[in-house]
Amino acid sequence: MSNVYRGRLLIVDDDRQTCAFWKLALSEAGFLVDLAHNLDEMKDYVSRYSIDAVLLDLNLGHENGLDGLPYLVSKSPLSKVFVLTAHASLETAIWALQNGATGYITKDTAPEEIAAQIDKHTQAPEILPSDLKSEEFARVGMIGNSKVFQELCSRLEQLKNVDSTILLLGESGTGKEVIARTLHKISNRSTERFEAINCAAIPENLLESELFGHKRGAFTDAKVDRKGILELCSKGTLLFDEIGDMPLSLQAKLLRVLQERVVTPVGSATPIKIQTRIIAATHRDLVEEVQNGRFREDLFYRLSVVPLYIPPLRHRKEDIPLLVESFINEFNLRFNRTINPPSESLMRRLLAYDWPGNIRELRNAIERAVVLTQDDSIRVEHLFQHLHLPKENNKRQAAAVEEQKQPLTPEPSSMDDKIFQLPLTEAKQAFEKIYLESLLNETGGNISETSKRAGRYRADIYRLLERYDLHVEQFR
Amino acid sequence: MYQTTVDNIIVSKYKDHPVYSDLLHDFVSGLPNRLHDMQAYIDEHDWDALGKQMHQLRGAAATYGFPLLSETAAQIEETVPLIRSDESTGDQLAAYADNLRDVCRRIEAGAVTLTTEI
Repeated sequence: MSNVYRGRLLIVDDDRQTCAFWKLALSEAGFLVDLAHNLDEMKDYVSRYSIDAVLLDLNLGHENGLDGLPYLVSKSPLSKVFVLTAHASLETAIWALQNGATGYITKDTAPEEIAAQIDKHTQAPEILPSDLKSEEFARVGMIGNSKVFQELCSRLEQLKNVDSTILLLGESGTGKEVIARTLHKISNRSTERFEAINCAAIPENLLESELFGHKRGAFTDAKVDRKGILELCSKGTLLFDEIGDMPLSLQAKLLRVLQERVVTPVGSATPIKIQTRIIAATHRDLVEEVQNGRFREDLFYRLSVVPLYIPPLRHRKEDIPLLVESFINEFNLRFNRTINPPSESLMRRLLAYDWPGNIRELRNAIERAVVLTQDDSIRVEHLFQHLHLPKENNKRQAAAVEEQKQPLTPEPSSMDDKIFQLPLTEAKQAFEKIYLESLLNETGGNISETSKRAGRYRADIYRLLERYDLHVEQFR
Repeated sequence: MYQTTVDNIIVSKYKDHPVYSDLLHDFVSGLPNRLHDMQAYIDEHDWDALGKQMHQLRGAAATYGFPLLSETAAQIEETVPLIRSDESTGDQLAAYADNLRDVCRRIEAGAVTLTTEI
């Protein structure tokens, strides 16, 4: 087995024997390989982990693998997607490449060739610290020229080689994972491994094993020894995303790791030394979480050695034109379109809106507009179609949108007719969002009650909230 | 050279990679089950299931280094849409199915030969 870590892969294929082969072959080549057998499993993995590349089978039994491509492109823009199939069809290959896939691999390709192809696209050239210019930040996904943005970049430069724990604070959609990746890529650990783990999306019983690893026989499914992410990232960087959602029982164990810099795999008595650089991120107010007894005070202090506040987009509106230009270029390329920059009046609308979902909301709005427009211009009705207005705290935006007399997304109750016009995947997502909103309305934003009624884990509910840019506060 | 045929036996192009030997053994051991399912779908005229099964086998065989098995499964997969509109293609399908059984037999024989060599 290769000693070089080459990245984290997700293989999406409905044939379990095919999956078993790829898992073994590509693990041997140095990749950490996860498997999904349908699109729902794929979405779960994508929401939980930072994945470098996805091998997506075209034909997933009852599902078309290509239906998952828009989801991957939108929710995991940093992952490279390779379409995997038994036979090469030029037409499908072109469609896949135009819609965001990086490459196309037939199943008779030798594993070492696949590994080389993945490497070619995932191993970004090393960024030398002395070369750090705004273009370099842009290349790793950070775009802007406002004073606030420049200050943020300066802070990153200052912190790049600091091994102290960094706590990224900021609203959902501000780009905390991009910041964490940037910190890794510009650091002296850039050639080592970067991993991100979403503490809100992994069931509590799996999280401990994921983090610390386990010994064979430690529990029913532990058939072999497995290293935890903390050990695997020992020389690299590990992002604990949504740390505010970590169960209290695990918070105590993480505190020990941070204090003693050792991990003890589940079922083992032997601690292992680690040098992992820890970055934590949350959109929650951790001070409030501490006051309410949901977050350990000692862990909070241990994590917030260097707190870094990521400003919301409304505090750096000067960056909106540059971000819009960058997103239009990106989606023109991806969807083979030639959409023009927005008109002056439309840009004024973009600048007038507060973007509560931050950069993620802006990016999704531009993607939707590029996809939906029939000609080469994007229009306000496409950009703001997603808004669920009016809410009390959104009156200003509601007024601004009403002023334009543009149609809005129908309220859930009137979605019934439209839902049947959508492709199945989008219809399922639309229903899922309406269903979640309805439950949250009924429970007043109570996550425990919502998860009970939905028959899902709390972590699943948090994952769905994140996926659909919903905030529990809206329902309280 | 992806495939070696000696006295009609077929072996995987990965036969010289010990790391894959367990998986190859599992794949070859699973072929009778796949053939049994194939015959059941043909008997029941469940063409959707047959098409999906052959697509899976086509991909899995290519992955495991059996291109001839992959091509033979592809022939059946591609015949399935025709049989819906033209029942007379049934004979062709039956011939392809026989061919697939023969290829599977040769693969099983190849696996036995390798085991004996070891």
